[in-house]
Amino acid sequence: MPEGTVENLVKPENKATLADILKYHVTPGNLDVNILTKLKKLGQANNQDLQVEVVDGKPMIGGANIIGSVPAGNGIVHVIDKVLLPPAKE
Amino acid sequence: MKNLHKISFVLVLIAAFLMGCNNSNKSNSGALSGSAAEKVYVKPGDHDDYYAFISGGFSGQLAVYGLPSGRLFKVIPVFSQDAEKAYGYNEETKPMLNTSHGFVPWDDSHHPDISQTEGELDGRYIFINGNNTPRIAKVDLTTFETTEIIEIPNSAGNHSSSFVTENTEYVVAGTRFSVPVPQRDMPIKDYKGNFKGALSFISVDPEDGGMDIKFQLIMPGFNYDLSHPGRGDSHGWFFFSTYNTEEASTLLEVYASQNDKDFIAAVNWKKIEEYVNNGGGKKMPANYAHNVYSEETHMATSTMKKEVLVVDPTEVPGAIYLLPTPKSPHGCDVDPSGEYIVGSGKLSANLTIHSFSKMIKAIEEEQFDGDAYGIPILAFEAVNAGSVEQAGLGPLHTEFDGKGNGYTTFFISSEVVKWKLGTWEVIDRKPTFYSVGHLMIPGGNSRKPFGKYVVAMNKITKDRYIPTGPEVTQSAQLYDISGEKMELLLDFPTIGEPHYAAGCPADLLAENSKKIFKLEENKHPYAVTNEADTKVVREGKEVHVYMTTIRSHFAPDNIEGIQVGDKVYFHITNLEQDYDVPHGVSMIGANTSELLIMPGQTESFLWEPKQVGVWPFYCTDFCSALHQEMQGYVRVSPNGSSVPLKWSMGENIE
Repeated sequence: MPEGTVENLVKPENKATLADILKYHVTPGNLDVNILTKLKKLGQANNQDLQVEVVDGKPMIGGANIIGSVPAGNGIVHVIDKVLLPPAKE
Repeated sequence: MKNLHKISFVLVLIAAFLMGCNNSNKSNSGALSGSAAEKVYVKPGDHDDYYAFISGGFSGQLAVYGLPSGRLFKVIPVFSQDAEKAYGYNEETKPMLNTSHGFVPWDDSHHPDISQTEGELDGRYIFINGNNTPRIAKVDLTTFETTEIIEIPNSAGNHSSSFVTENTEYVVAGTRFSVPVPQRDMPIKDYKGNFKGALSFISVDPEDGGMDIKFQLIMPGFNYDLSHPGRGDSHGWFFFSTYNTEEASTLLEVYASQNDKDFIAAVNWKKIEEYVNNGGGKKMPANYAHNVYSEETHMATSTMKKEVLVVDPTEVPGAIYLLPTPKSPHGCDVDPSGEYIVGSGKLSANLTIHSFSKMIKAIEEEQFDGDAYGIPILAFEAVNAGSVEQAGLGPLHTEFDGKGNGYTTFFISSEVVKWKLGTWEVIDRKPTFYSVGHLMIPGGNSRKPFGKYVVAMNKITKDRYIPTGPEVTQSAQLYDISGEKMELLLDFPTIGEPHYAAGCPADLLAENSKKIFKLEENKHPYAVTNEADTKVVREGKEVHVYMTTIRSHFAPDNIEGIQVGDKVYFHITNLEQDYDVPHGVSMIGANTSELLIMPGQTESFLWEPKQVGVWPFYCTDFCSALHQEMQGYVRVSPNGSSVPLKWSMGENIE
C-alpha cells in the first residue's frame, strides 16, 4: 500500500473507510481452497464483489495468493499475501 | 510503510453467521430495564393480547403462542402425524396426509398467513405451506384444526407460499425448485431452458373456504423464494422474489450467485384470472391429492385430481413483468399502502425498494431492459424507489408497523433494523440472539398492522437457554416497538425451526373459538349418540365397535368374541357436551396412537389383536375424579373360536 495509508486509515474520520476495507475481506460461507477454485467471484460483506481466478490450479482472490488456511469455529481464515482495496463505488 | 507488505491480511470466510458485525450498541440481557418483565407479565388467569401462529418448520406443524407472554398454547398438527391428538393416526384424519406419493406423514411447514377481507385480517382461516411434498393447508380458526390440504402439482419445494390476496380470493404457492413440467426422465444438465417454475393460484371459496387450483402460471426455471400480495392500489398484483436466474442445477451456493441482479416477478393475477375465465390457458393431465375434513362427519376424504389449468406467461401480454433486484432476493414484502415492494438481497448489505406507481408508469412508457423467455424486464432505475443503504448484512425479511416504518431482519449481522419508508433512513437497530430468519408483527402483512410488538425468529440459539445436549430448540425474541427505539422484552423457545409467523389481536379469534361439537349434529357414520345404541358388529373378519364415553366409563366396557386375526375398529363417540372435557382411549398392543376425542366428536382406531387373552383399554386423558376407573376389557379367543360376540356395560357377559 502507498506510504501513509495505514496512518491515514486509523484516523477517527476514516473509520468508515477502514470498516469498508475490512468488510471487503469477509464473505459468508465456509469455503475451503478446493471450493474456491470453482468460484468466479465472491460477494463480500461491504456489498462489493471480489473476482476469483484459478492460476496453476490454485485460487487467487482479487489478485492475492492464499498462503495459509486456518479452520475456525464458525468458518475458515485464509491468509493472503496482500491487502485488498475495494474499487471505487459507482 | 514498506513493512506493511510483510503483514499478512486475512480473508475471513465466515460460516453460517457472523455475529456482532454491527454490535456497537449490543446489549445483553443483564442490561434490560426492569420494566421489560412487567411488559410481558400476564397475571395468572389473565389472557394475552395477541395470538402468534408460529410455523413449526421441520416439525411440520403450527404452534400457537400468546403475546406478550410467549406462552405456548397449542401445537396444531398440519403436515405431520401427531400421536397426542391422533392426527394422521386415527381413521378419520389419515386421508389428510394422502398425496400423489401415497401417505406422507411429515412435511416442512413454513409460512402461515391469516385470511383477509379488504386487506385486513378477518380471522377465519390460517393457511400454511408444506415445503417438501408441495401442499397448502387450511386451518379453521374456530376449531384450530387442519380442515383442508391440497397438493400442488408441477411444483417442488413449495416455499414461495402460502400468502393470501386482499380478500382471500387466492392463496398463492410458488415453487422453490423448478422441475420438468410435466415430470419426465431427462438429464439434469439440461435444466436450463427446460425446467419450469409453477406459480399456483388457489382459489378460496368465499362461503365455505374450499380450495381449488384456479390456474398455474408456468414460469422460467428460476427458484421462486417468497411472495406477497399487492394491496390498496396494487391489489390485483402479486410479487414473487426469484433467485438462481442463472438456472444452475449444481453447487447453487456458487453458481446461483453469479448474476448481480435476480428478479422480483410482478404478476397481474386479475388479468390472468380474466384470461382464464374467458377460456384461456390449457388443461394438462396431473395427479394431486385434495383432502378435506368435514366437521359434520368428523372425517376426512381424499380425492385425487387429474387435471390442472396451466397458463403460459407469454400468452397473456401485459400480465407479468420482471423487476431487477440485487443479490438473490429472499424477502419480497409489500408495505401497508401497497406502494412499496421491499426486496431483501440476501447477499447484500442494502435493501432494494421498488415503487408500484413507478412500475405502472414504466410499463406504460415501455421502459424495458430486455426480456427473459419473452417476459419483459423493467429497467431497474425506472422502478426503483430507493434503497436502505448499508443497513446490515444479509437482509431476509421485512414487516411493517403501520406507522411508516419497516423492520428488517439481517441474518448475517444478527439484528433487526428499523427504517423509515420513503426516506430510507435507519432509525434503530437491535441485536438478535442469533442469526434471525423471519420476523412478525401482528397484521404486518396487511393494510392494518398492529405495531406494538415484533417477534424475531432466530435460527441459532447457542447459549440462550440451559443446554439440552447438541440440539437446542429455536428461540424467538419479542421486542416492544411502540416507541422510537425497539426494546428487547423476552426470549421464548419455539418448536421445529420457525420460518414465518402470523399474529392477530386475541379478540379477533377468541369469541369465535368453538367449545364443543354438538352431538345432534354429529353425522359420523359410526357415531352413537346414546349408550343404548352402542353395539359390536362383526362383518367377516372385520369388527366394528360402536362405543361411547362419558365421565367415567366406556359403553360397552366388556367385549367377548373377538378373535386373533380380526380387524377391530373402535369407533368412539364422546357424549360429553361440556367445554374442555375430551376423553382419550388406548388399547394395549394397538399399532397406532391413542385417540383424543373432543366433546360430541367421533374418532376411530384400528386394533388387530395378535395374541389370545383378555386385554384392557383405558381413558388416556384425565377426565374426572374417577378417571382411573375408566377402563374396559376385550377377550381375544383363537381364530375360529366358538365364543360368541357379546358386549356389556355394568353387568357380566354370561
